[in-house]
Amino acid sequence: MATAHVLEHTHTAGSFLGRYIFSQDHKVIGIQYFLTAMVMALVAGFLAIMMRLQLAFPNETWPLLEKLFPLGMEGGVMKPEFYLSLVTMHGTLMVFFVISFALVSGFGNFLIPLQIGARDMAYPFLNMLSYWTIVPACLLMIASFFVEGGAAAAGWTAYPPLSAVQNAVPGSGWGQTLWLLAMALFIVSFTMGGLNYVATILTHRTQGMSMMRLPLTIWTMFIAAILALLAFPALTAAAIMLLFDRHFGTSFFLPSGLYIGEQVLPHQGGTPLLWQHLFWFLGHPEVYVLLLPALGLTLDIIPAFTRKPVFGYRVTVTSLLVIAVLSLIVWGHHMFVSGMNPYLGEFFSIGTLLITLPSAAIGLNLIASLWGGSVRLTTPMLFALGVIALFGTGGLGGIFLGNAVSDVYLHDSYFVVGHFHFMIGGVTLFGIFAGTYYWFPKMFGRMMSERLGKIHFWLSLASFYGMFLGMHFLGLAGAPRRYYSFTQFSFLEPVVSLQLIVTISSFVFAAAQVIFLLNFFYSLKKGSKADKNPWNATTLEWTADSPPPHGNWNGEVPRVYRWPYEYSLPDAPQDFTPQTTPPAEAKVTM
Amino acid sequence: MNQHSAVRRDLGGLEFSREQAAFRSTIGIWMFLTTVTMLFAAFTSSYIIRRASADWQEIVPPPILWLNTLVLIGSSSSLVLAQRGLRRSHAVSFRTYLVLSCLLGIGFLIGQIVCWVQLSRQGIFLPTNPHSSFFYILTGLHGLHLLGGVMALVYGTMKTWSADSVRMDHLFRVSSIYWHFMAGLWLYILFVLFVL
Ligand code: HEM
Ligand SMILES: [Cu+2]
Repeated sequence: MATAHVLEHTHTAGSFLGRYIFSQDHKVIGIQYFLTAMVMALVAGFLAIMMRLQLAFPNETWPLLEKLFPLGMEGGVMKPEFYLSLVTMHGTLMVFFVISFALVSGFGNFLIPLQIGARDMAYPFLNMLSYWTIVPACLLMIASFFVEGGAAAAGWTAYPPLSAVQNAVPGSGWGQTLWLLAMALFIVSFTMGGLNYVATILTHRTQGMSMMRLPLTIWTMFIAAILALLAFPALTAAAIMLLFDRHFGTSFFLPSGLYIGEQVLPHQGGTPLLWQHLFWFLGHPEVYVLLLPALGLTLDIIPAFTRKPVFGYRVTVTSLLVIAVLSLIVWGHHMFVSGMNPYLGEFFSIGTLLITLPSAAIGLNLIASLWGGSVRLTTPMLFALGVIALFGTGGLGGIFLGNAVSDVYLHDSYFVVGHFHFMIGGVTLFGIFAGTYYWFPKMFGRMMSERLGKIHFWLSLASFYGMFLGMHFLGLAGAPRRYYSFTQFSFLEPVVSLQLIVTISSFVFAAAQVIFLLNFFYSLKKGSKADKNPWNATTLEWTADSPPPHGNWNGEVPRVYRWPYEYSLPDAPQDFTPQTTPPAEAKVTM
Repeated sequence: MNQHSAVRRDLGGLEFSREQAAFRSTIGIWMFLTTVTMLFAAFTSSYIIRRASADWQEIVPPPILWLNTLVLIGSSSSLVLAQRGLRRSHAVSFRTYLVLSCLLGIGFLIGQIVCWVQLSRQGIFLPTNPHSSFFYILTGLHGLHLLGGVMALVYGTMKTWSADSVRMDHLFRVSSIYWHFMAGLWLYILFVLFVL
């Protein structure tokens, strides 16, 4: 029956449309997500630059920007409500439409079948559908800038009443409605993706690929997918109720006696805090949905450049599971100042401090993985080291925030903004870059420029610290987040220069990303050709061609005999032993 | 050989064994039902929190709601009988009960719409009070989920006359898990709305 296992090419469907647009091939879908993330990153990054311009030069006029946003930038001067739209959309796009897309959907789709030895995802059609569901979501988000009232302005957390009362601020009108619809599409798509990840990892592993032989990338994707499936429905429920509050007169989130524009609203009895609970029940796990895969990629990249096994594989897997469970019960740390019962606050504090333990365990395993290795500082490795640095710095800030007592002072200040950018902005972004430089040869069959990559890294790292460590100090000085101008506050005068440093750093950071884009597209065409396994790594994707054909392997799917971190085995012929090497040729350690 | 190639065609030419495909669809449906569970769990906790407000007023549902409940339980039971028919390779009882189950499912949905109409004739609308808001939203969401199930069942029923058995196996197994779950979910919703 050997013929039954020969690959048939039925779903390549020769045509351009079937192969590149409505493709069901996981690699193409992964790259589609990746490129979409890139486009959305340009949009969201541009919004951030506008915010920084405003904060550093609040009295300047920007006639050029008026051309693009005639209402928000009337006369070239930024309106406060437009600033709120910028904050909101920057956060929403970056969290859901950039980091999620590139890291979870992009690398996830590309790597899962390749690393577990499968020909494709479990539900290829669903996979294609999931990509094409986010395309209208992206368009809705971008379009919302140009509807009446402009884009949503209630923050990426969409707190009511700003998000619930249509005429609260201009962005509360059409913009917020489109925001909710786009998020609904996003959730639908992410759910399809999550189902696919879990089913694929559980059922499509090749022979010999037990769960405890999975690369950590796969473990993190697996746990992230489960977390997303458990957490996102809370936001779905909240979004449904919010839509009804906005358009059909219900009062889930709107309290009695609320005045907007000297008019009392008809709503009564609702509670805005309900939204906060539901949002953060999703929001906190969501940050781990993004963080864990970044750590997974890093944990897989490091061994290739230290030539030794990753440290503490089992501890890491256990920690990932513990983090997943705990992350579902700590959401209240975003609400310490909401007037919650102090005992409840204590519960959330303790949970939050508990979750730092498995996080620290993974951090220590990352560092220990470097110990005694013969480190090669390639670009992917530099970015992987960057991940460790940012994870450590961000975690340190988290400890102060996780303690309800210090959070009362720090809440809603730039300290929080600094903290979460290290984590959800830095760890994830540096993880994405590490992954891109590392897997680019597999994706496109060419190498990226190391020289440009290193410039990209050092500029990014320095400016990243400039921006977000700076924000920590702004927060300690008392600067509140989401204000569009700080010129009116004498107590903030001492830190005006710090705002300038942050803004200049943000320009440097943006410039560094241009270098990355140049490198990416230049290498796509002109990079030196990559062979199957340019990094001498052990995982399965490196046994496929670069780029892999449809179905990933010509002929049989490879069989696995060992775990993915078999480096520098004493008796092995090379310093790396791929997972496919049978025990006869080299000892199996796990 | 024939069966084997059927499976392969189904999956876009990629190689899978029958067991793999069965396992895969079971995982898929249960993961999906997990997210549905979380959705209704979120609504339940919102319900409990919202109920603490002073403006809470219980509505009295139109009696047809209880009839609908019986219809849905009937539909689910009929599906159990169809499953038994399938196990015993008894094509006639399989198809009869399957069709009956679909019809009862559709009947439930129509009954729910009647229920909404009756309620609104009493002057109880979506925004009338928080309990009525939850009533419309929860029954509406359940109805939408059920509609998906009805479509899968009807599709499956039509296919019993044409498609090959391997493919039917999965479809039927998955949609009956979903269908029974929806019946259970309905009882749960009633419990939350009128007992809790
Ligand atoms: C060492 C572990 C961590 C602790 C103890 C911690 C603690 C906290 C606390 C208490 C807050 C709320 C601060 C406030 O609003 O007053 C917060 C905010 C936040 N954290 Fe963390 N965190 C940790 C790790 C992470 C990680 C790993 C991520 C993401 C990858 C993350 C992302 C965020 C985000 C996005 C926010 C702010 C959301 C907002 O208000 O807009 N944190 N963190
Ligand atoms: Cu959190």
